[in-house]
Amino acid sequence: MKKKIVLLGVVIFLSTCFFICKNERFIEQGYSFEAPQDWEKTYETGVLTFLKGDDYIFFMKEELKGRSDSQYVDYIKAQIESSSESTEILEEKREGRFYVFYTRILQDEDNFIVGTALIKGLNDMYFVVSLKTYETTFENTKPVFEKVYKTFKLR
Amino acid sequence: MKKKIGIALGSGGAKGYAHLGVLKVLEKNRIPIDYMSGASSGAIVASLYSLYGNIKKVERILTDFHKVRSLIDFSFRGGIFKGEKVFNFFDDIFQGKTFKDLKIPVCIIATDYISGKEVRIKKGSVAFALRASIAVPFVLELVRYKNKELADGGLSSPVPIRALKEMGADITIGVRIEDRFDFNRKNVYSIIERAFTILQHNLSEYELSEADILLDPEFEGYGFLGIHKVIKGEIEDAIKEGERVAKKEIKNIKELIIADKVSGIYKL
Repeated sequence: MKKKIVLLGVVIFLSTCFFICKNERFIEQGYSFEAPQDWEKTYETGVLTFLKGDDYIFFMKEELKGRSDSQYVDYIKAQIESSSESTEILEEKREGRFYVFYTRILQDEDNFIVGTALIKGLNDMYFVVSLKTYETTFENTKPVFEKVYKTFKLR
Repeated sequence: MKKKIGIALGSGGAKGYAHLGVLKVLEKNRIPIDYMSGASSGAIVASLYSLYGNIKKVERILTDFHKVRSLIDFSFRGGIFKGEKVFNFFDDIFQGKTFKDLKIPVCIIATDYISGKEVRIKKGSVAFALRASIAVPFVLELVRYKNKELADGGLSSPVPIRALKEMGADITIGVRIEDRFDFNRKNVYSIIERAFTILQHNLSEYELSEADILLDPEFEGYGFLGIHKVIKGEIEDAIKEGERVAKKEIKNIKELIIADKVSGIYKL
C-alpha cells in the first residue's frame, strides 16, 4: 500500500512537471500568460513580441491618463485605423475580463487581420494583447492568440 | 497622424551597393518608407526603389555587371566618360517617367557647379536628374540645365537629410557610405582624393547631426569611387555590410516608430 502511494506521488509529480514544461508561463512585470509554442520571442518591435513567420502577437501596457474604458477602446481602434488604408471590424465582444475585437485591415495591397484583447489592470493601467496576421493565416493563428489572452493574468 | 519615415542614401560610388543591403533589411522588417532622398549612387538606388517598391528587382538591375560595364563611353571633353550611355541606361529603365510616377516621393540631389549650391530635384525627368546627380567632376561630363552646370550631389549634400525634412519626414535615417578608411599615400591623385573625402566627410557630419538614425557601413578596398569593384562584379561585401549595419539598428528604428504612436506597431 505504501509503495502504491509513493508511486502515485511520483506519477503526480512527473505529470505536474510535464504539464508545467509543456505550458510554459511567461512572466512579465505586472502580468503572466501562457507563451505560444514555436513562436520566437523578441523585443525588436520595442515591446514584448512573439513572432512566427510574418505573424506576430505583442503586448502593451499603458496608463489611462484620465480616459474612460470606452475612450481607451476607441483610442486603440483609431491607432489600428491610422496604420492602414482601410479597416473593417469583423467581430466585437466582451468576454469575461476581456474586451475583444477583430479587424480586417488593408496595408500596401495586403489584407491582414488584427485581433485585440484589452484587459483592465490595477490602478490606471490597461493591457493590450494584439495579434497581427495575414488574412490567409488567420485560421491558424486565431487559436494561438485566444490561448495567449485567455491565460493572461495580472500579477 | 502616423509618423513619416524618410531615408537619405548617401553618395560614395560603388559603395552605394550597401544601400541595397540596408533596404533589404528595412523591407524584411516591414519598415514603411514614406520619403527617400539620394545623392549620386544613393540617388540611383533611391529612385529605382521608389519606381519598383521591391528591392530584389533593384538588385537584379544593378548587379547585371555585363550591362553596367557596357555603360563606359570615353570622352575627351569635361570628363573621362561622356555619360550618354549612362543616361540611355536610366532612360530605358524609367521610360520617360517623371517624379510624379514614382511610388515613393524622392528628392535627388545635384550640385550647381557655378554657384556651388545644392539643387534638390523633385520634378521632371527622373533619368535626367540621375544623370546630373552622378556627374562626378573629371569622371563624367557635367550636365547643362537652364543657366546651371549640374554636378554630383555629393559635392553639396552627401547624405541629404535636410531635403528629407523639407519633404515632411518626421523620422530620418541617414546612410553614409563615403570613403574614410582607405588612405594609401600612393601618388598625387590619392592625396587629392583624400582631401576631397575629408571635405565630404565633414559636410556629411554636419547634415547627419540632424538625423535620428545613422547607418555607417565600413568598407575596404573601394577607395573614392570603387569603379574597379563594379567592373569585376565584386560588390557582395558592400551589400552584406549594408545589411549588417541596418540589422544592428533595426530595434532602434522600430522603437522610434512606435515611440509615441501605438499605430506604428500595427504597421510593422
